[in-house]
Amino acid sequence: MQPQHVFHRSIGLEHPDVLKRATASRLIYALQPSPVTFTQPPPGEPHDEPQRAHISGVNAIAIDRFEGRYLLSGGADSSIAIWDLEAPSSSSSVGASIYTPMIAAGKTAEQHKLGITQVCFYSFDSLAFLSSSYDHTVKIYSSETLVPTMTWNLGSVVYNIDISPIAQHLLVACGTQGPNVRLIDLKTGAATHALPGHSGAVLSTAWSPTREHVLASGATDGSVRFWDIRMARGELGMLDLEDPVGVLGKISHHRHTGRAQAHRGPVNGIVWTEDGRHLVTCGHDQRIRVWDTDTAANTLANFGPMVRNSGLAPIIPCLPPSQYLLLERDLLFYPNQHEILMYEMFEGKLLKRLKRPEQKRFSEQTVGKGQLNMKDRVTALAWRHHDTELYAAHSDGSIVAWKPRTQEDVDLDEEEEEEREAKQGSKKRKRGLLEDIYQDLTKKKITFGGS
Amino acid sequence: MAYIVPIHRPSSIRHALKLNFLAADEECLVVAKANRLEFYTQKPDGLALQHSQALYGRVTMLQKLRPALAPTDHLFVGTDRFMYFTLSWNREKKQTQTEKTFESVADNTARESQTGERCQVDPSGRFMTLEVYEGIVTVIPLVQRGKKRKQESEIALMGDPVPQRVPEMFVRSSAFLRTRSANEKPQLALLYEDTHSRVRLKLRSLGFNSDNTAELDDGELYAGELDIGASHLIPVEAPIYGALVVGETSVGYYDVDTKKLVTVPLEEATIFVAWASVDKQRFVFADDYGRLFLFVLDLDDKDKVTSWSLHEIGQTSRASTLVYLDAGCIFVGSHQGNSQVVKITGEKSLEVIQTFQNIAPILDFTIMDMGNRSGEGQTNEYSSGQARLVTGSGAYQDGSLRSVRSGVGLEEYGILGEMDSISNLFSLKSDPSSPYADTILVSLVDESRVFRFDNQGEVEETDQLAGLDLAESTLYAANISQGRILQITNSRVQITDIEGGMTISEWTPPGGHSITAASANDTHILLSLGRGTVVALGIEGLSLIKEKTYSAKRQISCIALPPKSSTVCFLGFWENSNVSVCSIDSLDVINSTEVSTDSVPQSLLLTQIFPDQPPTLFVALADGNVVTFSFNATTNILSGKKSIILGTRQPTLRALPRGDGLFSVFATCENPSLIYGSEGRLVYSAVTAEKATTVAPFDTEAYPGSVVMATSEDLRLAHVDPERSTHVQTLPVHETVRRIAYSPALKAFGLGTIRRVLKAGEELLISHFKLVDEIQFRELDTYRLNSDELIECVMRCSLPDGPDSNDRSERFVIGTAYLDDDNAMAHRGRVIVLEVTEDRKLKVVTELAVKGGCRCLAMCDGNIVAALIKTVVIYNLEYRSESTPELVKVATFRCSTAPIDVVVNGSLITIADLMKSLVILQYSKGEAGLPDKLAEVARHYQTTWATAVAEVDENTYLESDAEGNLVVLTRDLNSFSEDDRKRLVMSSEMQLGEMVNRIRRIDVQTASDPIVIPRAFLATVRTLPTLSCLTKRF
Repeated sequence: MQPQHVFHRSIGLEHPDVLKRATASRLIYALQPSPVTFTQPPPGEPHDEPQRAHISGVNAIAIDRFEGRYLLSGGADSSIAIWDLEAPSSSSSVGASIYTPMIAAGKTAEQHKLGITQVCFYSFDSLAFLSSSYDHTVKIYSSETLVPTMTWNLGSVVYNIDISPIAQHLLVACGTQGPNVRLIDLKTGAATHALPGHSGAVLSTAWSPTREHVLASGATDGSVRFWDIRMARGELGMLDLEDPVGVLGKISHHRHTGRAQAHRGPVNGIVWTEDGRHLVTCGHDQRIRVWDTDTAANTLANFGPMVRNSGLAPIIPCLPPSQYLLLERDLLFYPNQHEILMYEMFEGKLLKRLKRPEQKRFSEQTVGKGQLNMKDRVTALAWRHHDTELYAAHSDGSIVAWKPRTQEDVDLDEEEEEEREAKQGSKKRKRGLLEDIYQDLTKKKITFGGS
Repeated sequence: MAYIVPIHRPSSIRHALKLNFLAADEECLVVAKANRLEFYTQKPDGLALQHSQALYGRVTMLQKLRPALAPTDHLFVGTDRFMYFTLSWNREKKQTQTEKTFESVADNTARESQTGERCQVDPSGRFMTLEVYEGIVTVIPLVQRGKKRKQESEIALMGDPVPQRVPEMFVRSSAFLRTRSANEKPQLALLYEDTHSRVRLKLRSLGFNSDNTAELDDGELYAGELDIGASHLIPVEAPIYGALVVGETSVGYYDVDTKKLVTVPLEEATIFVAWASVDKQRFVFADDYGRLFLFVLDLDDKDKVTSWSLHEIGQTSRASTLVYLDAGCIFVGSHQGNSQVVKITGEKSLEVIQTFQNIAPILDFTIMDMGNRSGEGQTNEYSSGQARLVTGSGAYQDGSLRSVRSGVGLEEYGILGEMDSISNLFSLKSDPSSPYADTILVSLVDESRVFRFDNQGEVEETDQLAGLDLAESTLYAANISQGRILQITNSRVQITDIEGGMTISEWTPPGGHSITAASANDTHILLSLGRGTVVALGIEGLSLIKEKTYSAKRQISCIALPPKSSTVCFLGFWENSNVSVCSIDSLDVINSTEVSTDSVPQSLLLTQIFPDQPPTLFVALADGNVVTFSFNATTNILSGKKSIILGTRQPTLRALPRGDGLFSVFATCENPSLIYGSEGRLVYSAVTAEKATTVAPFDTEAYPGSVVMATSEDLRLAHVDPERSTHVQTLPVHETVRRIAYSPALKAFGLGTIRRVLKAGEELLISHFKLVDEIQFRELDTYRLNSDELIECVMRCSLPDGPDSNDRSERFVIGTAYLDDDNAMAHRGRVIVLEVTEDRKLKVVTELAVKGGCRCLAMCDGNIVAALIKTVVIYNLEYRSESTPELVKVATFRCSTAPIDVVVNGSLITIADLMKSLVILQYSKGEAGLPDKLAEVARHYQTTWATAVAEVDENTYLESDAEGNLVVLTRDLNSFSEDDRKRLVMSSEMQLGEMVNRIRRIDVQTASDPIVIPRAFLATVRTLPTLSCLTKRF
């Protein structure tokens, strides 16, 4: 924290936002893995060792955007759990807290036969949430009981669901194995509305955060399409990776409509920026692209050769709130295999590779039973709203919290360590001295030399 | 529930504008002070306030508009609520009226402009642009007459706003360039910083496109280099055209024809903050250091710019806005210091003609006393308006200490004499023809005394006057018509002639009754004889009109007559605490009303408070309440009951003339109050007359408009202000007074100040700790901190004096932080303990280098609580050797982000975090050799960018945040769930709209069951409000 910012804020010389942005972005740049453990003890046998959050891997996580308090996680074994981030079940002085779920439903409850693909909270409160699964269903649950209040069977694998954060229409957009974007109306319970256009499985959907009827979707055909769900004539337009200019003022009805590709490969991640002015997409061509939604132009941000993307499961980048960042310095966190890449969003500059420390991983031996994903992979990211914390779901069954650890923290830790050592040192010295005396008394001194 | 009451109106000025608002032919200056608009006109002796208008929201922009058909200019106002509207002046109603409410242009997803909000009107009057969000220019077409005939009838023509996205972020300044012909498209020039931190200039044309919507074109970028510190873009008027680009190191002129920029470096680099144009060739610039410059363009005969000159005229407050008024006068609106009107008197000189006091920004304050000079901040609940605060106001060269006292001021002229137990006072005229009173009749327990003033103000006591009976206590005395004086004592009523002292008429109560209360007006006298007997007399000949004895159950408690001749009188009864309106002729009750359920009326007063409204009846109750009614003289009905508590004893009421036949009421009880009418409401305000027992108006020739005031020991002559105002005294310090600590024991302030100096073009901040005498405000000693070391906090406390002594002596503790971010330095701040020696000098007792800057300090259980960056540490001052003590760390706690404020109550330490709201810690001393502990007991789990906190009640905290919100947080200790006890819950919140810098708790003694308890004072960046907490739940 810069003392002069605080001073300038107090005399009204600087807008309070200046300090806020400076402080928060410094914290975000200092994100480090924190010694927080999410553990779900299997029923019955008590365990000394902390278990994983979901025994067979975490496929999806979401944090409510109202309080930033409840973390919702869905496992590869169809288990679901809700964690209260404000109430760790135990915590130690060094910030190592252990969370156990507030409420959890295991696979024994037959929630889903197959793994969860996506979880998201209901738009207007955290008392209900939705999940999609490989078993073709989308379910809506009550958060308090974890009992599904409604189940839709869409007839094919549901890769992704999204509900608009602003719209009153309560439509859930679903990306399924079929070529249509399916819409579920929570008001009527109908799941009949479909948006045809893609020629492959729809892997990702995302509602615009500013225009309530606008939806973007990405599919295995490499296209990203925009829809206005009120219009009967199909999509509004699509993104073309070869179009760096775009059409001023309106989303393009492009020359080669139907063939324009956003990625040269399946598109399995779409996210809008908070202001709806940009769209970030990820595809199997190992690229992340940032698009200007005003013109549908490719901004040509180049994220370099580090990006890896495979599998049909959604790989959705996480964008921290822009109010915490310096202007035009938006960040993007990308789940890249076993690590998280931190990029500058508009420039595509790689800032940091976030790797969790080795000891955090659950070794093969301790996992043993239960089916396990071969490779540790970050499956989903979630930003803790109103805060500067990032949560990552891993396919080895753990949830890792990334919290800011600034230079000051490091210094303080060192200082505390020194103090502890100094204390122990003095004890040791005392003990050593006593030992010497004792040795002197009991053992006969061996001396060399003639006497 | 909580509510807030302002003490001081906002006084910081950020926006001002000159326009023909009030009249077509007279220019007026409109000034925006936070949420208030003030309209001034220029008078020979300075600016005169014509009108003041409060708005909902803080003004962020002002602009002048002249719709084609309007006779006067309209004022376009933008607020921080993203609401925009135009105002015009209604001459008949003498009020502003809204011409066009222009819906909000709020966009929740857009980012607010980082470089301030701007509003520009194109010189041809076709468009207006708003820059509120980064990357968005909102264009409002101002459709001209003739273009669209249908809309001609509309007064303020404004089209719908069209948001235009532009890629230019960090726009530092924008301006419309002047165009040569009306047909040319207006050009908007934007001076901005690109993503590579280069400064760029772009010109964009604005016009209607085919479908009649306004559109900005892509524009052209000026290709050349610009001063990296370029901050202002100033359009130059016809016939010169072009624009000036003003920067920190140079001034450039951009020629629109050649599209070239000619730059000339400045002799001395500085930061310009405001400008105003004097005429087309001359401008005034103000810089960050309060200097005012004159800038002149030199022209050739073709009106082409050849060169320019810049020279300093003089020193003013640091300007936030400049307005050129007229005749060499410039209005300097300031946020950091007093606003001024200055006149350029010569080439390099200026004169300050007028000063507008500004208390903002308040960085810190201390409560000196709560109106009773007890010094400990203790007082009762009725005098919250009387506290004296000392604030650290202003920044840098405009920094000052200001003493703020609000309430009705009372200025004492002198003590007339010492005498105790004065029961009543009356002012009389010894010369009936004189407009002034000259005699005071003082009624004591068993006698009356008379003092006469001559016209020079000399006073002497006289033995006798006009045959007044001075052997007895006087109940009532007044001049009446024909040069006579009416006096009522316990035993009789007499009317005497002033000239000869002859008794003209006399009336004694029958049967040896004594008179207990009396009231009189021009025609009648009303007496209470005790035991329920009331007598009405006519003034002429003291003829008995009616005598009536009420039954033993209906005892009279008080009586009153209307001040003017009337057919009614007022009686108060013990029973049912009734007040009745009675006919004076029959003394029969006409109308009766109950005033209270648990007290008795003790004093009645009917007087005219409001112009053109029925008179008001004041009923003082025995428990300290005052009940008011509006009295309708035609129907004799009392209505509109209102009640207020003034104290715990029965107040005595006295009407004081305010002129124009209106009166205010002086109520004396523990804390005297003045009750007056303002804007149609009754205002009760404390008066600085702590000991007054009774008062009387005394309008003498030497001291017109004054009052005589009796205290328990003496008799004084004083002047009472007609209404409440905030009294501010200023002591310029010329440094930012960032922190104030007051030591009553040392009678001194400890100030943490920051001075800014320019050394070889580089800005340095130098911090001092100053010891300042309380009474003379004289600097006693200064302790200078290291360079680049910023003072963060100052605390007064008492610490152990020596290794073994239990004595504690007064100490100042200061906390500092180093400015630079150089991590090579091991220590980032210091905690310094200072003592004040007998010759009032500062001496360092001990100091400790700390790893993070020390943000705040507090005392907890005799230990120092230091909030460092990231940690809260408890230090104990230990004497390890005989002479030099050391600060020893006994316990620590790690914070979330950075502590910003600390409050301690008992062993509970409350910490406001920069980002993570509040956390409450419990400090416990280690027992049996264990170390001391600092443990978290409760937390507010939310992201709040806190700025200040205070504990306003047990387990109740008031917190403010950077967005101007106030929240009251409570901790429910009675809850069964442990989670609830650990969780602070918000019990009320409000949007104050101003960032609070400091909250100080006040403790007041309260009666058993008060409705409202004042709890804390708050100081904000722009103003100083006080808070009261409502404790009862309704």
